[in-house]
Amino acid sequence: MGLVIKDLKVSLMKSEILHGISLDVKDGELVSLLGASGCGKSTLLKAIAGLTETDGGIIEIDGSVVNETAPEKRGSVIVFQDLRLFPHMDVGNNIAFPMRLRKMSVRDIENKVKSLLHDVHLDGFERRQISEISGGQMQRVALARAIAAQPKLLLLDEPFSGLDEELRIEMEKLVAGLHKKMEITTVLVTHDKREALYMSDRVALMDCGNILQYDTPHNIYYNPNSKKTAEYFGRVNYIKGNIKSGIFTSNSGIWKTKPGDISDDTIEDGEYEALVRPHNIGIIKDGGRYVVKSISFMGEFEEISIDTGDKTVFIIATGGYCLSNSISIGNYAGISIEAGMVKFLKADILK
Amino acid sequence: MKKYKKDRYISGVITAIFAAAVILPVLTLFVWSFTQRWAWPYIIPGNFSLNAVIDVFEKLKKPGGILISGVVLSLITALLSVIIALMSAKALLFYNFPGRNALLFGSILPFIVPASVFSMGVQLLFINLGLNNTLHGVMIAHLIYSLPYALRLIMDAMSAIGEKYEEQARVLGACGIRAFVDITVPMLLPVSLTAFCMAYIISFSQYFLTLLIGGGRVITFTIIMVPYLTSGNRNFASAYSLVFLGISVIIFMLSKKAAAISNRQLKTQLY
Repeated sequence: MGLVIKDLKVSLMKSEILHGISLDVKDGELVSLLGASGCGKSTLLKAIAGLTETDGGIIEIDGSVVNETAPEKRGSVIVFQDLRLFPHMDVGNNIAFPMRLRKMSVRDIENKVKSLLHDVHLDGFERRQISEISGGQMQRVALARAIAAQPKLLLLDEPFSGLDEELRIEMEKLVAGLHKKMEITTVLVTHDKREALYMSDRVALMDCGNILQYDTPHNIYYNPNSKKTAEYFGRVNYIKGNIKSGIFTSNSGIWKTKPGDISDDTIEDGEYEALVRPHNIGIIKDGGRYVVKSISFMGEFEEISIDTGDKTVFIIATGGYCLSNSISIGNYAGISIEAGMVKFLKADILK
Repeated sequence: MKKYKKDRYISGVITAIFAAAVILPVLTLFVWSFTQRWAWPYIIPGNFSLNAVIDVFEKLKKPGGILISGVVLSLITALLSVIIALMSAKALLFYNFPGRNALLFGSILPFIVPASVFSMGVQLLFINLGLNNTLHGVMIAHLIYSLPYALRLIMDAMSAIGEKYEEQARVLGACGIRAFVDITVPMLLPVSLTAFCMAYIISFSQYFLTLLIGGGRVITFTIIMVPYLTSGNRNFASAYSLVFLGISVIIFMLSKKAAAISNRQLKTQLY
């Protein structure tokens, strides 16, 4: 059940925007569509909701093909980035709108509006005008209105993008909490990788109308299938080398491809590049042969670049680490790599 | 602080000039309505008379007279203009169909073509259709002439709002018509009111078109008023002009009030 998309193609102004997207979202799952602006995330969302015509492919919601179904009959509701609260209605009537369409009784609507406002922490806001509430409160009203429509599929189009960080975190927690409570199948569009990793059961990384990788947050971060995917989530160190019998050999060091017994390792021999995140590399102050090139202090953490001779390795350490350990630019140091956090990919895949 | 006071003084003077530009002519009309003779260079009128005022009210009192054929005809024309303009604006802005650009150009033709030329064309067409010399023929002619004004006003506002609120209503469960009626129409209420007033005043002040299509059988307030204006009978012309102005102001105020009530009801309705 949930949502199934097969080979979906969408064109806008005679130019193909989505090039055969396939995606499945399980019932009650929260999936993020992650990607840079213009990669087709919002177009995909609008196509699912029936607001954009499709050129080909299949969209199934709860087991029914909905390609030819009108938007109001699909059971999918979008909370748009610009929220689209009806300015000629107060908060209560905005939330009541989908319930009035379902011809619910006034008493039931009144109770439901109260309950939804309580869920989004806006008790007593029924009679407030839209112009009288803040941006964060508008987000909550839009969310409550969407839930009031009892959607089979909730589509969130960058709903937190206009908020400051504190409010954004609060809203993310609220949405995550409501999703857990109501178990509505949800697709969240975002360009914020932290938001996608934190909130989602699975993340679909999009680029130029294609899905690069669709996986759990942990897998997409630590097991990227391409350099593009790896680099979208932050800086990556690539260390060239080769694997023979479970041992990776490179100019930067030699280590086991998998912690534990080498005989358990399944990586076949050959030329590889090791993908190592900067925070999975440690710095060894004494006895090293590499030179510290730069130290960039960024508050909570600092980025240290180390020249290994044939390349520069980036390391993320806790803020103030270099100062407290008397490491400065020009010093000699060594590096230690968390072997369990390294992804090995054949050199020809990493294009 | 000194500059602020100076600015206020200047804006006060400008406002007073504009107010005087409106009030003084109306005041002159008022005085002339009760004046039979007011010769140059006298500051005060020579003879006062109630003839013109009595004549106007006698005509207004008649059942089925100029009040119905003028005001009601214009009100219906204005209402139809707004309804048709709302639907046409949506079609012209958001739907792609063959001839869309030609229709868009056609919608501004009455601004370009002189009223007399337009009236002649409409008359020839209406004679063939059997609509000449009829009340509904005059109403359709007024509608054709006032619709582009209403359409242009509503199109600008609708284009600014876009389709986004309707899209939101659709995904919340409303069908296309319901989304249009429940969301777009109320949001366009202020501009619809302006369009209504514009269409009303265009219709209410039509002389040539009414005379030509109505063939003298459809008598509106303007049909009676204009001969007085052109003949130089200032006493009667002023009395009729004052009533014309009064009716228009009342209609505008009533429409504004109705829109305000409707807007308040929409904002505060209990589900």
